[in-house]
Amino acid sequence: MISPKSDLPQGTLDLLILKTVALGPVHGYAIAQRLQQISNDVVQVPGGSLYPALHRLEHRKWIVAEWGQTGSGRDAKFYRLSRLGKKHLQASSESWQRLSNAVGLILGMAEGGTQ
Amino acid sequence: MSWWRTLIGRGRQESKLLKELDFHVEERVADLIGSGLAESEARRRVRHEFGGLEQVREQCRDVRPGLWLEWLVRDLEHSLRAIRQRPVLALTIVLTVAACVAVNTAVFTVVDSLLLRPLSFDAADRLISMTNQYPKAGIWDQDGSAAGDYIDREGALPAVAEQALYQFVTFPVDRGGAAAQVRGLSVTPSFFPLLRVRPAQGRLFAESESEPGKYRAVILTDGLWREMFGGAEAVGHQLRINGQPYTVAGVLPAGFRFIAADVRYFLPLALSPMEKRGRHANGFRYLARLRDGATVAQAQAQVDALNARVLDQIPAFKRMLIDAGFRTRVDAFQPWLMRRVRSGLWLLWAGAFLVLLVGGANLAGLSLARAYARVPETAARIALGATRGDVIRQCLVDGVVPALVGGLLGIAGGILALRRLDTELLPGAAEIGASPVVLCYALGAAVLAGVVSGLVSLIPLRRLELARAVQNGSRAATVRSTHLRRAFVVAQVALAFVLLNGTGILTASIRELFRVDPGFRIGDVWTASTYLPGAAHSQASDLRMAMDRITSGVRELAGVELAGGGTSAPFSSGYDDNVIFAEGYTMNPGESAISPIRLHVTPGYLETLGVGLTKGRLFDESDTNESRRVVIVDEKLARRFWPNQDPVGRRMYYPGTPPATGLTVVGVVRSIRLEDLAGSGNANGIYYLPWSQGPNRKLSVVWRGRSETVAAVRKEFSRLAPGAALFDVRSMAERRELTLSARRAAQTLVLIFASVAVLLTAIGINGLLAFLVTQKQREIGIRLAIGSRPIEVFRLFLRDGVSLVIWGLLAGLGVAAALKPWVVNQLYGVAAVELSIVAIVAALITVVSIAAIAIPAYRAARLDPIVALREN
Repeated sequence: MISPKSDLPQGTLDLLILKTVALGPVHGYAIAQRLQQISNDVVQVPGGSLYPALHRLEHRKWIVAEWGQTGSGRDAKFYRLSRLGKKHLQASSESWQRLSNAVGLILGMAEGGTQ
Repeated sequence: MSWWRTLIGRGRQESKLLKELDFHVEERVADLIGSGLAESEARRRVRHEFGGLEQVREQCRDVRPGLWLEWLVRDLEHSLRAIRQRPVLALTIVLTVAACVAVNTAVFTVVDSLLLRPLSFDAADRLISMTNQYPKAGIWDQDGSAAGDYIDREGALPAVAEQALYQFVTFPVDRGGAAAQVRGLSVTPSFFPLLRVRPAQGRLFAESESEPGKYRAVILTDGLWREMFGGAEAVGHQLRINGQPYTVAGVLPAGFRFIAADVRYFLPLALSPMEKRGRHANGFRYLARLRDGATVAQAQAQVDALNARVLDQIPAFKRMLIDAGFRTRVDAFQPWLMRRVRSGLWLLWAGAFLVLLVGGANLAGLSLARAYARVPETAARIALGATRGDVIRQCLVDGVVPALVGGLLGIAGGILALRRLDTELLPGAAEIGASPVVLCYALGAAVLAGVVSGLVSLIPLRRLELARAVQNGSRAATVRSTHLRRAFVVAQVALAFVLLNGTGILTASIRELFRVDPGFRIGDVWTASTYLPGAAHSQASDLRMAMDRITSGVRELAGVELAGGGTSAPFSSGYDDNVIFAEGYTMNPGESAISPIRLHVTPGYLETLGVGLTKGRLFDESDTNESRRVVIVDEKLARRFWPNQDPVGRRMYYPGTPPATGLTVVGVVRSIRLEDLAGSGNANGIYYLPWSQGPNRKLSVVWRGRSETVAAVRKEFSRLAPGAALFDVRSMAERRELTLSARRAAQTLVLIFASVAVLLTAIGINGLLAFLVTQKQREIGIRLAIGSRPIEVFRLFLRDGVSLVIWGLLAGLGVAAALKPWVVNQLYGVAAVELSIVAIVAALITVVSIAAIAIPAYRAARLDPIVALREN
């Protein structure tokens, strides 16, 4: 289990949330569940990380929140991506891809020096 | 604490957040139960996974943009915690600000009321005064105009829209009971319309009421109406003023006051035909209102032109007036009224401002020390995620909160202190009161001090220093801070020196004045004044009889050694003066006539005062209305008119009268300082005339005896002068003290300023040294460990502190010397920088400073080296 606070690189949680939210209005619990399912249980986000992050993103106007009802008829707060959030998601997933490729290249080097 | 959360609508947000988190927990619990867990186990798991609900809420709150009030409350809580941790420091800061703000509130209220704010009349900035001056005759700043000027100027000055004359009067006022002496004003009917005043009850004066003896109407202030009539119907009812019946015509609105608070009724000024023709008999005050758009300079030019025309109508006096440098001065009313106190008030305000600077330096020093002590804490807060904005905000709140508390205390204290100060002496005292401007100034000063001290505490938080702090603890960062604090201490010592030196020179001035021999006796001499009652134009013989009865009655009282009467007592103001010539004295071309002070006195007046006779004789019972007209001159007049000759037997005469019918000089007396010890006022000398040859309604009795005689005179007076009221009953020593009261008030205020400044400086020095000792604990430990004696450690700190004090004293001396041009005219017989005073002041500051230094230095010397080294 990875607790994002210690092990996810900084800013990653925001990116993951944005991506999850981009798929349609979704409440906090569902975000946590989806992250866990898609990452094959690698990413488990405790409430102490998830909700501050959600509120921070809401404050930055990257996501928009609305109260609505779940399938089972309970009141829940649903989040969806804003236009600003969409732009940000695009920009940061690109840079994340680049970084991740770069890190992969470096880690893929043979030990003992450059070839 | 819940009140403010509800207050700012935080409760709603909180419950939404709680609902959101609750939803998550319940969904998870339901899922876990669905996967086969018991509910209790499911809840335990969720608690573990999710984290503490309260913590999560806290974290969510932290990322929210928070309303400013919410931040503020959090910062306030933090500040309060800091205050609870160091209550003495907080108290010092609060009291420092309170003292400085109190001093500034009190002084600035006076400055604002008298100098900055317009007087409380409609369009008061258009009011002007006109006064006749004769600079070459030694009269360059008198208050009056003549009634003839008023007549001449009516309609003749395009710049002037309205004009009025007024005259201060003091009469006994009663409604059949005991009479009290009350000050009032005689005014032309134009006076109230000019000031745009409407009566609250009744009416104002009609034009016809300015005819002499025509009507007897009085207008009361709200205060006198309530006192005399208890708020009951007054208009149409009668009052007795100076023994004569007057009918109340009107009552003024409650807020109305003119210049002095003790002016409580208004009579119509009835000008006699003789007065209306009178020019240069400057017994009246002239007030006018400029036409819209007209300027003082225009009015001045028009009056100059008018005066030139009028001079041509009186060829007999033209030369004399031109030689005297006659000119009518036109001034804006308020600056004119305040002309004698303006520079003194500004200086006092400057003094109060210095106190504020000293306090500000203290505040900055204390805040700086506190901020350095808190660097590790702040560094930790930043490491834990506090933003730059958070830290700056916290510093500002830490600075402003105590300053604001101190500021509010100070404003209250200043207003209370002002009530205790004797401001009645000041012209326009009726106008003194705190205004929004004063409150803004005082609060602004407090907040500014708070903001500055908050910003100063940001200095140690610069990036570099923070990094160092995290590495080394706070020590590395502190070296730099003491430079600034040392500079503060030097400035404080300098300012304290300036204020204490001010106290010194004012005190020395008063001492010098006390050494002055006024030329008459002070001890055992008593004075009392009255207005002899009677019809406005009663016979001179009645006045003579009343006068004789009073003076001889007082003289016969047990314990009274000598007694006499005169138009004025010494150490008063408003003396009469009149131009007089000497037979046989030829003036050089262009030389001005002079207008010396003229006193009418009975036999016994000069004897009681012990004014020395140098030639001839004093007045006696042979000088009656029927005998030849005689005069006594003082040495100054004698020297001017008859240098190196005997004046006795010579003649003096008034302008426009033949010398042969003039006054014969029968004696020469020593010159005296009539008005005050500094010898201000008329510089031309005095001539004395027998009362019997020019009786006057105003009478001051002087007598010599022990203090028991005062009660006897009071008791006897009602029998001696029925219907007259006795006022201004004082010993001559008291009168002397009164002439010094403005100086005393200034001395007291500056002394208070200086005391506050010295105290604050001592606190500042003490704080700095205590700080240094704490910082250098390790160094001290090493010194002591390798064999330094405690006395050497003590000296080390003493030297450090004293060198700052010396720099401060030198800087203060420089400032004091630079202030000289503004200070000298407030002084008598001392220089702005007087070596002996400088020495005393410097010694005093040094002693206080050494005491402030010695406490921390002693603590340093007594440190146990083992403990000192271990603690760091």
